[in-house]
Amino acid sequence: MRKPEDDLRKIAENTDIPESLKPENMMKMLKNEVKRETMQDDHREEEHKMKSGKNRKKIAYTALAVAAAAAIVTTGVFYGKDIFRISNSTNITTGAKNESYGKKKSDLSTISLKKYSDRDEIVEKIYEISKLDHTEGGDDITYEATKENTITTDNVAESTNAMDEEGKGSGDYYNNNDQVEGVKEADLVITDGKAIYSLGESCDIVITKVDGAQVLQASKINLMEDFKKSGYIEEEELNMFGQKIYLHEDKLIAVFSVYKIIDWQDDVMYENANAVADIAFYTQNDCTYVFSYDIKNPEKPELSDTHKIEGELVSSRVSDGYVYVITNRNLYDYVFESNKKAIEETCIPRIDDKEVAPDSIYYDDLNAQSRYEVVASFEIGDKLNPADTISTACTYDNQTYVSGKNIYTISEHYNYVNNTSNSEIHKISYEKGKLTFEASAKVDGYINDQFSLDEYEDYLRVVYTSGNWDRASNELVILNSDMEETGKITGIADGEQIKSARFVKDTVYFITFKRTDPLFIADLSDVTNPYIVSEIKMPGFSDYLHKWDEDTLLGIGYDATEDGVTTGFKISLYDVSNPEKIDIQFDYTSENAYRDGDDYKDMMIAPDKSIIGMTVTSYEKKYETVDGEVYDYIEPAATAYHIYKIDGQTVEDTFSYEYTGKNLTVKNEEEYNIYDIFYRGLYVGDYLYIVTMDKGIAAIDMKDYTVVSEMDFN
Amino acid sequence: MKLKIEKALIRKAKYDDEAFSQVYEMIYRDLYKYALYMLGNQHDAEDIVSEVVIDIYKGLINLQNESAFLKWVYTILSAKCKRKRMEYLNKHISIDDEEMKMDFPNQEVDLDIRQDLIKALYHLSEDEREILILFYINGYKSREIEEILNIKSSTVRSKQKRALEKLKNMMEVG
Repeated sequence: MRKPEDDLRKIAENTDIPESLKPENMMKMLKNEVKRETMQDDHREEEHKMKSGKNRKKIAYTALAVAAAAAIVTTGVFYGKDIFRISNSTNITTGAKNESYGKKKSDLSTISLKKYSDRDEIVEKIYEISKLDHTEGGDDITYEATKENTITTDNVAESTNAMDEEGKGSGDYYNNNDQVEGVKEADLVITDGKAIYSLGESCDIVITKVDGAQVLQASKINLMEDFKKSGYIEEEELNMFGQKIYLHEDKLIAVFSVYKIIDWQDDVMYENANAVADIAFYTQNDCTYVFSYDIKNPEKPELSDTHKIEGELVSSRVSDGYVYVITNRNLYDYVFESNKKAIEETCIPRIDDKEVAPDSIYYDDLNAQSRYEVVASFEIGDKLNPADTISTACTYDNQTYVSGKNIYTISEHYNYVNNTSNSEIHKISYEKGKLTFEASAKVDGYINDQFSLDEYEDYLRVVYTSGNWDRASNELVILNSDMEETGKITGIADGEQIKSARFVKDTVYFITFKRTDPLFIADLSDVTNPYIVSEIKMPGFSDYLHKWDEDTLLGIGYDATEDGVTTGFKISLYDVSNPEKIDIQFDYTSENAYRDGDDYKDMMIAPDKSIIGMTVTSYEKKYETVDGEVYDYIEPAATAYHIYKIDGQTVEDTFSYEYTGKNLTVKNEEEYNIYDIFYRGLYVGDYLYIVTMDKGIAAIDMKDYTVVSEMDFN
Repeated sequence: MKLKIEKALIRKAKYDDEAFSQVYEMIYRDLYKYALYMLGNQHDAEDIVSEVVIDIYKGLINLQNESAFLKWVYTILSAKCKRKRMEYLNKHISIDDEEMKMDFPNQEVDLDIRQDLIKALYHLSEDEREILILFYINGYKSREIEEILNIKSSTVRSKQKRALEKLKNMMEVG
């Protein structure tokens, strides 16, 4: 019998594409006829406002080419020649204690979660959900806080500080700049002072022994191969994502997700949907794995244990000798809609193919748009011993912040009707692997990143942006250990969005941006009365903040014109010695150059050595004359790893490195390979090691910044 | 995953034509096929895709969330297609019209079946047709379709199932 889907596929294969749309012709047309916009703000017509799905950050663009401010200065920046200047166009306004900011108490924060009593209850609930008519788009989720059936939360125990008390080996080496000291975050390149472990896109973990100027590849772990050999999934076509590693004593822990590349065979899907045997086909997909390798002998790493957790990897941490993994999982496999038997089989998350206990699942409003967030802990020993697990209801947009005592999972709910978000924060305490659900709260907005939250002396402080594009506003809230609001500031920087934040004990520095970049300092010492101490406006914005020393706040981000058009990247030193009057100490800017990578861990931030390092691509301005008209565009000139020396007073571009080894893929007409270079740097003692991801490693003597050895990976 | 466009590449494409060209190469066939089979008109599909690419080329710099690139592109594309469809309806153009040149350059499928298939395709609702195009003509996986259409996987699967059944029924009945 003919299948229309096959015919559709055939038709697709044989569709001819018009000549004008072929890339060569299209690019010619674009170059000649279209002027690229430069980054501007939304003061223009928002003809197209996009309702984002997975990632609810606000995105706007315009189809109209408003004449760009064209502030791209014709500097002809060439590799190695950077321009730095002290910003003199600052517009410093210092506010006195913030009379102008709102202090209204919020209408919502604490919510309570219910716990299921038994498996049947869960199955029933989820079966009901499966029968709902799922409407597309408009998730007009009404969020209800329920007070009945609340679990009595344990008093937040005055637990011993779960901060890692193990001596970090007396080595002088880079410790990867985690947000919270003692709570390790997964990374791509790590050292224990004796070897460097690097994991790239290729899914290979290269182990390089380092000793001063000497670098020697000891071994390589082929993570994908090991995964295939593990027998978890039979298929050959697999994709790994989110892969990152930890080092803990003599173990290397890899955390990653794998999914099969499924070819949608309708007949298999629907005809077999009732066959329980095929449930495995679907539930095998979208799982997260934790692999532990013994690296006592770096030449011979040995896989010692593996575990599987259903759901896509969201985040993980290593603390107090345990690894905590957080995943995001479907309520059940949707292909089985209304098939009660199949739903029964798949509606409870599994770890190592065993269902979690029904009473470890918490929810407030499991509905058609919900998913599970699964937190699982494992003790890192000779084996990885599963310790505990908790699952909560969440959405598809998740973030995580982990303090020394608590895991906060953040779930953003997006309302399509009025384009706003609110974020639910679940607090789960952890101690030696034991997980306890504590409390939840909801904030009226969306949270920029993990640095927007911070726990200090049992209070959780959060900065977030509420409202939508033009009507955005920013707020700061303080929640006590029961996640109840104690103090708040509202109405900050209307119309702008939070770009970066850093909490340092009783103080928070944060930056909002629309056209200019106000940096705010708020005082949080009185939890019932937080207030803005001062602010300073300047062009551009930082998307990462770091307290460099007593008096200095480091900001890394973008430079821009007064109109908000970005022109290059910028490293700022803010003098915060006097909170009532912030000053710009120094601005390093590099026009037509941009930092690569959007993960803050892509940068090496090393105040101990007075340096920072990052991958930077510099661009050249090019001109082309067509029919008498001169058009300009920018083209990448070079991608290099740069080291900037920071002495508290100035920032100086000290050194840069480009890989030229044998693993450099050749760029020719057909292959565009200039974009697969990425660098990570770290130091051990007086030597800086720059890893060219998946390609090689170089050792640099930091006394005089000379490259003393280089090695290609095998 | 059918399409993996690296965020880094999208970011470079904001400033760099070579990168933009590479991104374009990965998606242009799908964009055209989507427009062609949504509208049933080669000329209009070509125009629309050009318009969309111009919009993207100009506005990419403002896209803050690179992971949402594909969804952004399809939002623009589907909006333009919808508007075009409204024009057709207003002008009372239908599939049976002479003016509607359903000129699909396709030699492999039997003429009769192809005509039936195309006709049936156009009797589906916009949403149903869209999902079948994304699945079978563009070959996206359900995860990508979830992102592109901004709907949950349960909706994707049930829609796709219903659309295909409807198509089958229509073709059997003739």
